[in-house]
Amino acid sequence: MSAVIQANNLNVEYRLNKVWVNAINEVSLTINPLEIHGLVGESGSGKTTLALSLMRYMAGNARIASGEILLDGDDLVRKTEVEMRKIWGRHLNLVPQDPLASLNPSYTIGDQIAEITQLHEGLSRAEAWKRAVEMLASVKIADPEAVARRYPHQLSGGMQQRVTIAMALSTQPRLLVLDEPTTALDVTTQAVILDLFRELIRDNHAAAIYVSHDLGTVAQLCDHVTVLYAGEVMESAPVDDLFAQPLHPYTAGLLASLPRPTQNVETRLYAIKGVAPSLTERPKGCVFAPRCPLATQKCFDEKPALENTGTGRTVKCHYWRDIAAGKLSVQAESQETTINAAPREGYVLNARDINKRFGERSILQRITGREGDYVHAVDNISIRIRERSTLGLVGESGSGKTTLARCIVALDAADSGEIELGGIQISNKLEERTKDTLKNLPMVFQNPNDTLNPYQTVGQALERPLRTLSGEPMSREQIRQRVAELLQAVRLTPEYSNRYPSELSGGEKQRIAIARAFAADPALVVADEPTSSLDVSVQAVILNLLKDLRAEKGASYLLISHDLDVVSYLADWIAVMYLGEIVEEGDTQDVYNAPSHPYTEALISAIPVPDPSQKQGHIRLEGEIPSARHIPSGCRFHTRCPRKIGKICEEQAPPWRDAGDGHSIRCHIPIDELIALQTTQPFNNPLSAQE
Amino acid sequence: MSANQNSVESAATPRLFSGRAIGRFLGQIARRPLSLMGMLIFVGFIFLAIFGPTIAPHQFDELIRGAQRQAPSAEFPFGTDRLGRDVFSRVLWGAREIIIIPGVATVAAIILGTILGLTLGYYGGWLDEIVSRALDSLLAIPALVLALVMLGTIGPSNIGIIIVIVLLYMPIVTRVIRSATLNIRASGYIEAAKLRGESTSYILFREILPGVLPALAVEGALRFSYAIFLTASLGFLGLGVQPPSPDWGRMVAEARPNFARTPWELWFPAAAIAVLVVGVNLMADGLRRIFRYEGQI
Repeated sequence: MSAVIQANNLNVEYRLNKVWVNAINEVSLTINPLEIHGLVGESGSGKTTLALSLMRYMAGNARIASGEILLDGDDLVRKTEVEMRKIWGRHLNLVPQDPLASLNPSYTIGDQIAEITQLHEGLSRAEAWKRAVEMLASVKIADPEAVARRYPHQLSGGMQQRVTIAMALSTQPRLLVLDEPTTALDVTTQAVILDLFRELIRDNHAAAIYVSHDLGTVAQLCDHVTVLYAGEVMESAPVDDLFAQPLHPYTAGLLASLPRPTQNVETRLYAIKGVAPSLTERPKGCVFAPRCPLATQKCFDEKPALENTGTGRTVKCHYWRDIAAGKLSVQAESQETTINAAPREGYVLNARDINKRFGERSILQRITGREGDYVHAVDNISIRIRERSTLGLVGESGSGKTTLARCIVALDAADSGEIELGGIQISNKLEERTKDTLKNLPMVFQNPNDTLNPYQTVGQALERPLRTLSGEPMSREQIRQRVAELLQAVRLTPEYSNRYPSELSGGEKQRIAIARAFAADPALVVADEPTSSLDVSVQAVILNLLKDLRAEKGASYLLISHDLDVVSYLADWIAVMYLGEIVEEGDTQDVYNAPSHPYTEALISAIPVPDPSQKQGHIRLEGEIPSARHIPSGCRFHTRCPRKIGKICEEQAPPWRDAGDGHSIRCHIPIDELIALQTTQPFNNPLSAQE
Repeated sequence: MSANQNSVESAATPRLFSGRAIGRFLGQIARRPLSLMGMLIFVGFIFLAIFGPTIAPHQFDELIRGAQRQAPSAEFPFGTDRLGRDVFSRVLWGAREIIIIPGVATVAAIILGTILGLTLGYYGGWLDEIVSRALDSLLAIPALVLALVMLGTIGPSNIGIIIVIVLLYMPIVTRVIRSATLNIRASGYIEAAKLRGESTSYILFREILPGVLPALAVEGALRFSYAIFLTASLGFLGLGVQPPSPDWGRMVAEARPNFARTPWELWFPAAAIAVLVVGVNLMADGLRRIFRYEGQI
């Protein structure tokens, strides 16, 4: 079997501040036909650079310094740009991360796909159009004729990504580069797209490079995985071997840092310490040595060679033999436990019948007395959070979970409903809330890059809530001390108080944001996707920190995430939202296990398990979450429900059914039947599999 | 790649008003020859505005006996006009008004525009709709027409020119600051400030304003160069700074009929206007590049 693409000793450099710095260092890679090759690593590890370099498609300030890239034995490095143009789009195709940005908004989908075959295969317009429609059908787009005539913005994110896949496959390429193609999609859509990749790559006899930071999708999709760190290959192995026994401490660390539902609640996630080196300061010895828990003096002095372990895998570590023999392990450290204080009896938050709708009636609608185009983002939701506990709120984007959180902190004023904080009713409007309420209800935001004012130092950001919200006036010295304590609490040194946000990494910014939220000793911290834009290793740090702080400070959390595994690591109670309603709530263990609401079941089923031996669940949701402007009648989930029982689902709103211990499910199917259905047609449940 | 993004990001968020930031700012200016030239021209003219009258060899209205219509020479570097006034001295004297009037007007337009822009951008809603449309309609009137009507009605005066410039440029500044504010107002740090119960003025001036200062600096420099040109134009049309003060625009107008005989009378004030406007523009362009500001120019 000859390789589709083979890179030998590839070096790629970037020109930064007038010097060439090495971004990809001596990478050799072989991809065989039908193989899906995963490239993983933290952000900045060079995985995208490498993938695009293999296509010889690179940024203007990048160059291939040495090495060769053989496509079916033909060296791409020596080709001119003009020659490459005949290869790009025909033999080497890219499925980008952001489909909307890569589709031309002023041409129809059909025209854009047809253009490729017209150009590369000399098809006539009509033939090319016909091919385009076939391609759309092959990526399982219903009604491809109609979709071909639409423009990119008229399609949903998942559909757009299918279109880019159809484009990439329309010339039957030798190699597809998939650059984080599902990162922007919901987990349910992601599951569908991954299935599609698996199938299409096989059918087209292609090979693929799959770039991702998500070890779960890599485990589920890839055949072979290469782990990159600072532009160097740390380890490369068949997927089963890699996940079963990582031989490099970096791979082991990445895997250990993933939150998994099987984990004991008191286990601390393993966190790789430190940050990746910048390209300009490459360590002399092993590049990973400064962050490696197993590093010895030898690692700092001597660069390890990429050794062949004899089983089709390579690893770059002095001590891989000891790791393979089980003499050394990074896992030892992860057994450290956190204090996991049990929730108290009282409720810190009690929100009843919260409603929020957006949109207004237009003048015409007012005159004619018609209803406006309201979007019902939150529809009569009640939630309670116990003291020193965490309520996890999960659902796809568009489910209204963020709106609910914003109503609770009053960034959006709820249209109706009552909110009690610590037993006292508080106003729904921010202006009417007392200082004491504000002090007890801070929020941590999703995007670390705009959570801190770029023109204020960390110290200034932390001082302000101390001054405005703390009850007693504090002296300058007291404030300085409190800031140091807060930084200490988020495991940062006091020197950080003089830094500006631009000097911090994403994880550090998010830690400061958490410190700011805790500045005035809050009762309830609302966290909206606090780790979704962070690397897994950094995510582990943040999740551990949140867990520690909950015990230390006795605060509660309302944690919002699309990632069930993240939620289950912290939350003791989970509420699942769909289209502005809660469809299921209960204890974390109960929600994970049958009986579940069919929507929860589908969400769990869609989670890519970071273990290739456990294949993903088989339940896939059709289509995407409907617009909240046109809410389906009856059960809101009936349009996509795989367990729909009939007309009743379309006509009547389902009742709440009690599954014991406060675990309730809003479904027409009785609990017993749900249990029967979900155990006789079991899907892969990581929790039940372990028990 | 995020490694690259980080380095770009740190360069793009300058700290304002710290020693390090000013040092780095000057370093950036010095690395761009054209920007540096613009900056030096601007500083040079500021110097002239302050010390021009002191270093001028003659009074601006001094009629030098027997020295009418002299070509540039060692004694009269810019020559003399038909009345025997030293053009060099008049240009030096004129620097003060051509800097001060547009300067004051620009500062006023910037202050008003910033307050309005921050408020409109932060609150949005119907207030924003109404005021923004009103300002748009003000912008639709050609600059010179508005100036001629205004100054024709209230009579030409320094205050009149300042009011005209403020009316013309305040809406533009408002628009720029408003859109910069719109980008910031949904940021996490603004929402965090709201959740602390901060007052609106704190949010506007302490949280948002520093973020729009780069846009403001660019906009200020740009408006200033336009204001200089407008002031000179009004002077040329006889609606500007009134006699006997030496005004470059009026000097050009007065020199025009005599251009065939005493061209230097026109050359030097015209050149002064051109050099100043080009200099300030180069500086504005430099600021724009340094702050990576992509707004309208």
